[in-house]
Amino acid sequence: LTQDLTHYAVTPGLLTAALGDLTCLFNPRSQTTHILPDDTLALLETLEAHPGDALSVSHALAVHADASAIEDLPVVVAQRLAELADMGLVVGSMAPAR
Amino acid sequence: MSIPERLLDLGPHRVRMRLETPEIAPVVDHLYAGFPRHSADALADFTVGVRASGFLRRFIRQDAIGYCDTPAPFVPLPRESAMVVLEMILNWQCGMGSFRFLTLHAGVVAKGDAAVILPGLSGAGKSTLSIGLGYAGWRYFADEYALIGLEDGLVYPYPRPASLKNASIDIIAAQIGADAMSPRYPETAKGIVAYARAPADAVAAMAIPATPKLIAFPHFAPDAAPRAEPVIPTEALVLLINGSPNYLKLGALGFQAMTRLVRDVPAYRIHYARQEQADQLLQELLSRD
Repeated sequence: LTQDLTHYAVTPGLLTAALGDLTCLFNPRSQTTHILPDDTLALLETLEAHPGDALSVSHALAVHADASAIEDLPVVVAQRLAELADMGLVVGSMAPAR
Repeated sequence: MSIPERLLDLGPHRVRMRLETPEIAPVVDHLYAGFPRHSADALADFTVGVRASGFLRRFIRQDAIGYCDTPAPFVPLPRESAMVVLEMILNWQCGMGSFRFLTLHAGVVAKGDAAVILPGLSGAGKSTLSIGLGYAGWRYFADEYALIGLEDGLVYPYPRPASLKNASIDIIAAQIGADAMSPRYPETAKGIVAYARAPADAVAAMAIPATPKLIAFPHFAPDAAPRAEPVIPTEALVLLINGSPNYLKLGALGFQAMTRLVRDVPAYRIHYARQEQADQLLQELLSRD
């Protein structure tokens, strides 16, 4: 994990809506709609405010979304960010976003 | 020779109908009696039309071919079913060509300002239920499309004639009278089709939108015990997206309108065997709000 320097940011223009226990997202780039678990929203909100690599995002998430109780949080965050990147909901790059 | 045209206000749309198969003009005038009519030189939001097949094709079988502003994938029908072609092409143009509204494949009825959206794909019974309720104390909004305003989230009436198939035709004809029905058109992919005229009060009030208060997915079965089951917002979302012709075209605006609708409006699946049962279920569900 410490060697993963991928810098993540929320896909520009991404729309979110909380619907019950799930989160609905719309990606304007692909024009696709996604329905994901509600914790996705907390992760995206944190990432919106603190773009960065998985380790720094997990630190921010622990503070801002009170996720410190999650075991192996940095690993979980890294996996979730990679999944979201595969779906096009976050973008990853090797250089920090300006 | 000039082509017969009708320029009518159909809910929020002003539509030019070009009737190149002029024998359907009396049927159009009968079904759309009461809709505001304009002179041919007025501007229209949409143009739709029906023409007969070309000269050589006429020696095989004369067909009716629909056309409209939005490219349509329809195959021709026999000329005797030109009215069906016109209604199909109107559906297509409204569903795909409306950019001020999110279009949902649904019937709509209302009590006062409370609109009930009855989503369903073809054959779900939404047309029969919508027009039946429209002649039984509800305000008839639509049998085919719910038009959801992108800015205000209101439902806008689109009270065109209801498209009925097979057994539904006799049921509704017995309720509303044969005078309010069109001829029957046998040669369609869905079997026999006929149209029921919208109630006069629905046409008179078609400029007045209503607030969506209930989404009810109708499920008719001859032996069904009347009951309602909640549908969670995300399931409603998926079902409505699948039945929305223009959701993808609207992009972010469609997403915002759709999520606002399923977040704010409770959804149920209703099972019923008779119109009166559905009527009672809907009134009970509305009263829970």
